[in-house]
Amino acid sequence: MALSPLDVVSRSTRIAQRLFEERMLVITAQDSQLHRFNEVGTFIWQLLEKPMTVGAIFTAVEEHFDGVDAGKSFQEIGDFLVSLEKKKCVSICPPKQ
Amino acid sequence: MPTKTIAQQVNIKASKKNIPLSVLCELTYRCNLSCYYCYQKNVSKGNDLTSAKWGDIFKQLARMGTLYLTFSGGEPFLRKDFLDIVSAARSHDFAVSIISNGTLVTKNMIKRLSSLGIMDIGLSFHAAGKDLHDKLSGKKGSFDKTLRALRFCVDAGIKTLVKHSVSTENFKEFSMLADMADKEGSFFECDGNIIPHERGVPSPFVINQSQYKIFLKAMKVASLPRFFKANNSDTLHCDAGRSLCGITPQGEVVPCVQLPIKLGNLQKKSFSEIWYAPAVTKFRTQEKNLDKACERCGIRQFCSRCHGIAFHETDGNWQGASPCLCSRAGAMAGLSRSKGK
Repeated sequence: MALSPLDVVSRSTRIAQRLFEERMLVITAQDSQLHRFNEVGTFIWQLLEKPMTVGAIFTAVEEHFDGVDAGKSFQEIGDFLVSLEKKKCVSICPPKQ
Repeated sequence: MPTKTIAQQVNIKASKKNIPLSVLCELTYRCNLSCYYCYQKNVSKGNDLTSAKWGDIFKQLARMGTLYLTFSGGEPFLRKDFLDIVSAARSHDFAVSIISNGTLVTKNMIKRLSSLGIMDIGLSFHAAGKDLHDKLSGKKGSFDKTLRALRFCVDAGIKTLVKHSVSTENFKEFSMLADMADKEGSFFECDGNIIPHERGVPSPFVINQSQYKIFLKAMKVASLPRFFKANNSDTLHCDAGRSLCGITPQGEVVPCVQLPIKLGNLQKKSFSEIWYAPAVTKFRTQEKNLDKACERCGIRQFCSRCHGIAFHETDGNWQGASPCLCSRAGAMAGLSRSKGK
């Protein structure tokens, strides 16, 4: 799935979450699966307290983490967001016209 | 050694650091049924905490790192503010589970619970047929209502568990209930551990060792290697008072709802004051020093020890052996030996 920088990412309402030892734990209701995010994943998840565009997420990650390779991080963050959508942790929608 | 799941890894860390990851909240001791084995029949009912107080407790638990919250009773749906309490819990992002007899729920209540994003609901069944179930629940028509609730939950997309306690009164029902759960699109959870309603003696409804063998074999418990704990030295201990605890309807914090050692009351103190107080530290130390007979037991690797059951069966000696669980471990050991032949 190709993401557009204008796509809007929103957390699902059917999840439970807690910050545990500086890593975010997220449980999805439909399968009771527990997911644990790494440092960057936790940062992105916390950004998503309110819906955010894919572009804004890239920018925030680049600003927060030093020495990020823009091209590589774009790919990795995109993959992470798509994996979150597959796990039903978030929804990704095109911007409202 | 098999790789530990994320949930196991998190629980081990929580237990080491005394983070109350999982909390069971009993919202009321009142119940509309009169189940034959209930150990709460003689519990003093008292005033239940208000929903506002529960809201305050949820805020404290979220700060303490709690992730899993289970609501039970009594019957939690007897509280008119129950859905508001669930809503307050969900506003703090807990993974909420509910245990109920299901007889009081309506389709609209289940729809609201579904929209609140609860994790699962467990419904208690004593039997797969209405005659025996109604007899054991003490209320005619209860089976039909519980089954109706199960269907509401499954239709609403909520993970639903058929919960069952195998006893002398319903011994042949477990396999039929397992089939029923499967047919209805739900999960099945059962065991033969029953907390006695009279202190100092095992419940008269606990199945005997031969029945345990039949039950464990039928449920394929004995053939699953994962049933045996990875570290034998851990079989006797549990996480009560470390990564899990209970809160009674009157606000008493206890290591586990089945182990009624009062650690402090949330109407008088904050959760963190109670959790880090010397009384709890003392309990954790005591938990490491169980009865020597258990420590030296030759079949301890088959034990599914529960301090709560030991407490009730021995009238308070929770560090001692539990006759019911010794019998269960014996059944497991027997199955293991016959499998090895």
